[in-house]
Amino acid sequence: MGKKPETSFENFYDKFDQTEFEEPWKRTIKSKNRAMKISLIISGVLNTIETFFFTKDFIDLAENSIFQFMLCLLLICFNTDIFVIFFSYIFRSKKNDVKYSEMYKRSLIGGMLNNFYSDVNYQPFSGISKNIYDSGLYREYYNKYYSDDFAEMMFKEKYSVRLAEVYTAFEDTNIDSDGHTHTTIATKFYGLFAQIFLTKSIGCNLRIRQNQLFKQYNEIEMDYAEFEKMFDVDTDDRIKAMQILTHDVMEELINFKKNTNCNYDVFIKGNILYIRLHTGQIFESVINKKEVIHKNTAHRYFNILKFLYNLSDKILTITEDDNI
Amino acid sequence: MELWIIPVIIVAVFILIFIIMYNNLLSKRNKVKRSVSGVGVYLKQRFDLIPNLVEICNKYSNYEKEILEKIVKLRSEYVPEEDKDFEKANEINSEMNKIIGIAEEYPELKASEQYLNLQKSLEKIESQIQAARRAYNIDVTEYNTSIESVPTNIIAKLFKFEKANLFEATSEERENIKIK
Repeated sequence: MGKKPETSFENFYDKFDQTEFEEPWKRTIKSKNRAMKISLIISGVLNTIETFFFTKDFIDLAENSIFQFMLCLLLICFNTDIFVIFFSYIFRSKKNDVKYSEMYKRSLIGGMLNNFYSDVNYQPFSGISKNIYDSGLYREYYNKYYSDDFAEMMFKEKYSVRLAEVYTAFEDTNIDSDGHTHTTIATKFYGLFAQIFLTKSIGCNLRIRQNQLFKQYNEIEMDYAEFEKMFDVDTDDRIKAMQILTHDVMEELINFKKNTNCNYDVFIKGNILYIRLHTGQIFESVINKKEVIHKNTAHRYFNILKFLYNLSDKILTITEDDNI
Repeated sequence: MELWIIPVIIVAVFILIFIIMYNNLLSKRNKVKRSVSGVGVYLKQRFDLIPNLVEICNKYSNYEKEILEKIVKLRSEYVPEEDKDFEKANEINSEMNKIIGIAEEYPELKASEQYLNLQKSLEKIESQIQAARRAYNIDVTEYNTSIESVPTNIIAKLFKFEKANLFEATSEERENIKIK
């Protein structure tokens, strides 16, 4: 049923045509280098003026204490570094970065999505609705919500899938006794959120997440010691949970956690499967001087999508079985 | 403060700990009992399909009468509440599997809608039985660990909490796994 995805990153990367990336990549690197050169010149000039201005003080310092003289030199070097960073940021053309990033998302990320799914509608600069995210019942109190990299597609030409990068945080503002305003932002979730529609309901709720501090009301134990160490399972139907969480599925969950050290949670509510991966920023391009496409970053994105594919495949195969 | 209060507090704390540990053991034992009955319910559901199975087999093939009669007899003798060791259940299961195995040799029987429906029901129940057995084993392991650990083992001995048996796959089931 449907096409078979390429599961080896090396094969995918080798087949991927990078020629269209070369021009924007070269322009980005060129712009980066130019900005660096300009900033070095400016900071050099500023530094010379600074040294000239303090020459007399320097001679006095060197006469008095060599330690103070060294300290002053260090401070000037530190200032120069700040100038370099500041000016390289100012003079760098953002236009080239945006162009490269757009191409990266549409071509590479789009290509990865097309590898695993069909009928892909990927909108890198749109997000998923807050209501859809909230339907995963995460019980997290947040007042800041941001989402992009929205994609809508079909899994095995049968199951509708939506995924996006989501960021939620709680921003708290306090005014102290001196009248100063303090703002604290606590990130609640930052990563990849996926919603997959099953063709039938499993007739219960099942949630798998990283070990929690407190035991949940409906928490059940599983017969896999390693899995128990890493995850908590809560459900309102223990037998169905046992049927879905076969050793094979549990192993997949353990292996991903071990290989990536990425936290995640899975929730099945009736006929909807929710998967959240706490990856942090995702699907963003990384510009590297040596490679047209930063291989390690692309590999990471590929592995995340592969895990999402494998896990949903295993869970959907079991849940769609007449035995559940 | 009166000095006699200190030993009283110590004794009260001990009694409290004792009660908590006893209740904990009791709740674990009840959990095991609940799991046993869970397995029993699914086994009963499976065995309730025996009359159907016998009827289909009689209709489509010249089955050995002995096997069919034996399984009907075993089914009538099976009382879920009294068969906590699953021995009788295993015997019935093995007879059922024998019949299903023979059915595979009759293409007409295999193709019949009645048989296919029955097979589907059997598969579903089998999957539920397996899940229930896993749940049972988890509860038993937890309970047995409590019975063997210090200091709950003292309470377990005092109040005669006995170790429960884990469910183990029968030799037939193990052989099936090997064949696969």
